[in-house]
Amino acid sequence: MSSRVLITGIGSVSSIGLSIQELTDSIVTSSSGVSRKTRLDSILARTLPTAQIQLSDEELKKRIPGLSSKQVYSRTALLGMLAASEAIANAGLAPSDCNAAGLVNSTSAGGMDKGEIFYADYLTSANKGNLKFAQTHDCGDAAEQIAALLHIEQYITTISTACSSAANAMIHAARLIKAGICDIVIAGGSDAICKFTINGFNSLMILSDEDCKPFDKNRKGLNLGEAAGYFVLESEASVKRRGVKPLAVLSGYGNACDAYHQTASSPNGEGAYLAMMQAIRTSGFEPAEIDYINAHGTGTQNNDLSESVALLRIFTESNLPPVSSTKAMTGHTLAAAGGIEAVLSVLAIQNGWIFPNKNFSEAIEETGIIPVTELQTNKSIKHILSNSFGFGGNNSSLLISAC
Amino acid sequence: MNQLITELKKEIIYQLNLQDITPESIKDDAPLFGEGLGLDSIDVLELIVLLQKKYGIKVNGAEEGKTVFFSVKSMAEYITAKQQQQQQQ
Amino acid sequence: MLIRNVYINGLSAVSVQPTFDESFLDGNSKDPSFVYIKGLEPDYKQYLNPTASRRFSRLIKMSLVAAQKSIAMADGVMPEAIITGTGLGCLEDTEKFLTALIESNESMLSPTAFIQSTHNTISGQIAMMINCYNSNYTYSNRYFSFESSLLDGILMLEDRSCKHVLVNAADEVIPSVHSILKRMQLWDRRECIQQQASMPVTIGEGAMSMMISSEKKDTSLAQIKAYKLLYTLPAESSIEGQIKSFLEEAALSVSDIDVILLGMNGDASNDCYYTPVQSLFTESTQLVYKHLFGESFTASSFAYWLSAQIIRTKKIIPSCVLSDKNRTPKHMFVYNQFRGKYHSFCLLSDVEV
Repeated sequence: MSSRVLITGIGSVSSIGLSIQELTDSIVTSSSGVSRKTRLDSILARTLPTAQIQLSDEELKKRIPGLSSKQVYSRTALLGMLAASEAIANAGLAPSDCNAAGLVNSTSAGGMDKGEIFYADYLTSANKGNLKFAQTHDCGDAAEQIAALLHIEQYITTISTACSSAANAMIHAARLIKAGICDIVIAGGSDAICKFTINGFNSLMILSDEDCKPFDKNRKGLNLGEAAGYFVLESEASVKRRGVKPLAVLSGYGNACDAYHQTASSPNGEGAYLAMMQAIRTSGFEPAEIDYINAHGTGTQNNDLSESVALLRIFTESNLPPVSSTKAMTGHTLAAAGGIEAVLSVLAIQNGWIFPNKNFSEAIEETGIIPVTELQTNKSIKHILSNSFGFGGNNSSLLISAC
Repeated sequence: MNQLITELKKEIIYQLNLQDITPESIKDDAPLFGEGLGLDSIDVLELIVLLQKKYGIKVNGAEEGKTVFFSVKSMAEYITAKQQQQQQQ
Repeated sequence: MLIRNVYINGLSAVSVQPTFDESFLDGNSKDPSFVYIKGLEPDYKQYLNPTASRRFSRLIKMSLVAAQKSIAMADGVMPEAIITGTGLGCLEDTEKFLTALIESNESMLSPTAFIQSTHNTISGQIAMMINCYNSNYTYSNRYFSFESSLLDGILMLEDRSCKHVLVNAADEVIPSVHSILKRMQLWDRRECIQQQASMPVTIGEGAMSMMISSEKKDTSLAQIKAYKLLYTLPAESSIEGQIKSFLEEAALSVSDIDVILLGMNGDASNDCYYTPVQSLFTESTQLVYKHLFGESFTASSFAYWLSAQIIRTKKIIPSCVLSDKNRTPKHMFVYNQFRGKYHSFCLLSDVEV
């Protein structure tokens, strides 16, 4: 029996669209969600560009039928519920399919957006602060909320590996399917922007005060964003049983550790190199068969150079497939980044697209990689490598292929 | 200047939690990073915050930080120069 | 799932009991009613490079020494994956950064606490300590944080993509979170587990590290023969039925199980779910541990430490006994759940010669 892991549903919420349809429309016009508009009540968010979803928690809640009006939901959970519901509808899953499905969620901030409100009150007095807010703080809360909404009963878990989280969630989901533990897994990632993360990244001095310029010589840092990207992953037997047509295949995946520095990537991009090589090797395809690379490309000095070096180690200058980072459109959405970028990869395969790396003008001297800068259409896209690299040297790469 | 250097050594040890290191064991012009005290890029960011908080001096990014924080002596010189600039303005 | 070859070849834990020096196994135990276990932490200078560890919180240090010892016990093999489960992550650093953020009104924040606050710091630091470039994962999902880590590790061994996987659990208590959890009436409820009247359950913390391998060795402590996680019981199924079919898959019946180790925590709304399980295993010695180790999202990891040690030493620890049937521990069933959710079943057995 073949053990391919098939993608049968996708869903996403980001600053460039609250649904797959809206996301698609934004891609066609190459719109960017990065702006100076802020919904988050934060001094930094008022001075730095971010890619926020301009809907309040209450407005998000109204878009999700079945939520209790009394319950407090973290913004991360709300974004996750919205995107995961879309993925399930897209895959045409029946409630009974969901009962027996697994959920592999991922987040880095979890319910910190509510946790930080709670803690500010708590600091004034130890018996102050709304406990309902505190209860949403941990990473596992969002998974429980999504599971409750979608009636997922068999297995739930959450991965938290910073900016590679959603990619790692897909990897764990693939292992569950291949081992026969689950036939259907809903996997993805969600992260809401909050004061904690924007201040954290600011303290690392890697936030740009301009729109980010991935892979550009004069890049000044990243723009934080918020998003959720979810998938329905399925075994071939389950797809056959349900009689549905898969959208794409998760044909390879790799995760490796840079083991170099707590936040910085190594100069030779070792972790990135190993993750990409592993993704290619497990797929059984050759590097030459890759049609497009959706890079991690955050726009920081360190990542873009290190990732470029790793890309050249694998593909060499003359054989490098088209590369771009979509973070100039979506911002860096942390745990969700791997999810939304894998969603984009599926759209690229379906529509024959290569996405623009906006705001690029001059190549990095050391590596000279020139990314794709305009939306390309009518391409034949069969295999895409999607990179997600995180703190602690956590590097992941997914290989998504046409069926 | 000497007073500032001694003060900086104490601050560095405290802020960066350098256990088992005494102010006397840090040489004025020895490199703080790499082979010297073994500090790294996170320490650069910590030292930038230290300068801002304690002396009201802003260092523009980690790149400038590398030259400013080469040694305790270079730090002291940078602080003194900046303070003189501020007084003149 | 039924497992072919998963052996526990390295094991270590820093907990509220003297587990790091293993004197707990000789009957040495502490009153766990005090928290923040400074007294039981080893002298880190013996294990960690002071320059590298100067930024580390207690949780990271506990995790690193536990990992170091567990790797050493497994003859220093390089794990092909490092997986850590943590329910609440690095609380000390999270609080430090959050407090500074609120008090300074978002200005002049130093980055160290933020960097250390991310959940995957622990797995990342273990990798840096041993220069491990292989896979690195962190799970954080309440009472499945450690269980998912172990499941993923088992899957990697069983699909033969790895031979050695280091699986860890880590959670710390800090005073503020302790007071918040008390307000939620969670964990530190000071209620006793049945007749273990002298020991009310409190909050627990610590780090556990286990090297699981597909290679059997003379020094292997125990083997994991079957493992199953179930978030909620399917409608029209019973816990007894689930356990029986779990054991049947491993060609065992309830009466073959010598010892069961239950995650009861004294909370009646939680422990009622263990009652049918206790009634099922009438012939087995029944043990509990949370009155000694405390409750937390990863408290169950200490059940794995304990059961592997019991299988290795063939000694039952008297302070853990609910009912003793004088059986030699060859097959142990470890069961944990929380208020009817997050069921985990593990069958640990003697290493077959």
